[in-house]
Amino acid sequence: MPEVEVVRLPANVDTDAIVPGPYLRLPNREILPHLFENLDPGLRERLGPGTVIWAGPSFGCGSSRESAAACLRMTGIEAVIAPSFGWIFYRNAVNVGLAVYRVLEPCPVEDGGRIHLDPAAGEVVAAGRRLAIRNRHGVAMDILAAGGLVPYLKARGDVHAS
Amino acid sequence: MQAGGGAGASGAANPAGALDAYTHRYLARAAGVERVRPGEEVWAEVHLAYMHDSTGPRRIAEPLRELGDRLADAGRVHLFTDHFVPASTPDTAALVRDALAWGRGHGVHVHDMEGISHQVVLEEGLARPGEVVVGADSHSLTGGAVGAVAIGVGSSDLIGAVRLGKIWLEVPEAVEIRWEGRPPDGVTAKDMMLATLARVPAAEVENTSCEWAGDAVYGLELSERAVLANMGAELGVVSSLVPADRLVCEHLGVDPALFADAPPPAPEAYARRWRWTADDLEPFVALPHSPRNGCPVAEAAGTPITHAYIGSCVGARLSDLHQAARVLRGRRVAPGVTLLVAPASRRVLSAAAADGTLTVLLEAGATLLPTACGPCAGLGGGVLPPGAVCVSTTNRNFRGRMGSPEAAVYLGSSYTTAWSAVRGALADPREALAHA
Repeated sequence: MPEVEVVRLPANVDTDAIVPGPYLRLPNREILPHLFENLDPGLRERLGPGTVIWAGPSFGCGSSRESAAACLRMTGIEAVIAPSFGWIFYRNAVNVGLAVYRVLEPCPVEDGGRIHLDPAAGEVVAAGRRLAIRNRHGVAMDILAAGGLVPYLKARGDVHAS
Repeated sequence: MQAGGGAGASGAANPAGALDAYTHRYLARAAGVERVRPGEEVWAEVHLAYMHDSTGPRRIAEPLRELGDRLADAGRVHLFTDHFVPASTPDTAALVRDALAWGRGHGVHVHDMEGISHQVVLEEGLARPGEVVVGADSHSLTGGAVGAVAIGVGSSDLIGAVRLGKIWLEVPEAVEIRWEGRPPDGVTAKDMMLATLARVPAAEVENTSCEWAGDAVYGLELSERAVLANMGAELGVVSSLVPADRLVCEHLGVDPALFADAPPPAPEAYARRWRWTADDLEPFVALPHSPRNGCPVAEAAGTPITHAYIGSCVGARLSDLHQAARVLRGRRVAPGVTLLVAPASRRVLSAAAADGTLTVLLEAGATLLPTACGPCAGLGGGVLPPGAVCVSTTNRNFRGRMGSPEAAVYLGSSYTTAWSAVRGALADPREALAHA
């Protein structure tokens, strides 16, 4: 059960806050340095393997831009945890293989605090509390486990490359 | 006002079996199951999948190759060029060229410069009642105008939809927004929509499927219903559906027994409901920089403007041009104001040319732009400079969307936009209509 560092974010972080519109024409790799630029210019530096974002409700609300989820995945973060997500963002995240977990309780640790993330057991252990991951099963989690929609479809018998 | 327990006529008259919202009935059919419940996951058949030159081939071609480069049914897939046309740089010109080559090479329906995708989908009758429509653009909800479950997705979802012919969906809760009565002259679906956005709390409607009801909704012609469907995107809903009535069934040659005569859902089918009357509704504008910042135009009247824009997938149908012409006939745009008009499609442009509408607009001082997304998406010609104050028939007034982040955009109907252009300031169009 890996221990990870929490980067806390507020409610209603929209896709424009994740990837500012003017960078949309760039390839994702070139967008990456500008992630969260308007929200908190120092934030991008903190995101990487061993960290998770724990946000308030409606994380990723706004536009359909898939680069918001794709660039977050490229940072290497382990997951985004929130009570709720923007509908298209949630789908995009699953489809690009960015782990998104619904945990209804507010984050019990401070920004920079450490938690245990245990998707296999379907829970997050934080400040001594065991909090349930609500979206543990189903198609979305199968797609996530495969690493995204394209690898998932590749692994399905009915869409093998001819 | 939230419509508490007042079931109304539709509830009382419901036979058993009408417990499900239209959206849930249609998703069940597309998934091949008896019923679906909110929160369940289903694989739904996709009846129409579409994309445009920005979200389409440039993003899906490579991953699709990894999946064998075959489509489940190319006949159900449509590609539109509407974002980067006519191309304004060599890079975007190449992008459009490559998109078209991909589309033709894969045997999908290609609509090159026919107009904005969402408009052409309605014009060509591509979206049908009860069907599942998936578009790679957030305003793909527009097909809800004819009673389709039309959703907007990202590029990966589109890959799945065209490769498998199915899409995985977590079934949303349904909510109902009911407008009773009849809007006064000069008050349009756009005003109903901006009022709805101002009144419904975001947290109560986001990620639901919205269904429209009431006499004021069914009194709208198809092009006006499209406003309610299209701007579901601004409400934050998954889909925004006006149930198909006889008007739509006749228009599309669909058996009314299957749709218009189907029993309406009981109130319990909806997680939440809202109900207003349009009888006393005033023309609305959304103040910068959010479509939710709506208020009666009277409250903002007198604000000087520099630009007026009639365009986009929500505000440049023939009905919009007719509204503008009714206000502009025999009048001139105020000195110092730039009025740009981009009809939503080639078909709209032709019809406006044929019936004389175009001449009225041009004689009033309007400048014509291509039938494409254009400045609404900050693309092509006609974007706003710093300091501009624009009144616009479009659907989003986010900071920087139409050009400079230092520009301010007010959203309104075509009546409001045209009359404000004449006055040189935000103005209530009912002043003009009284003398028109």
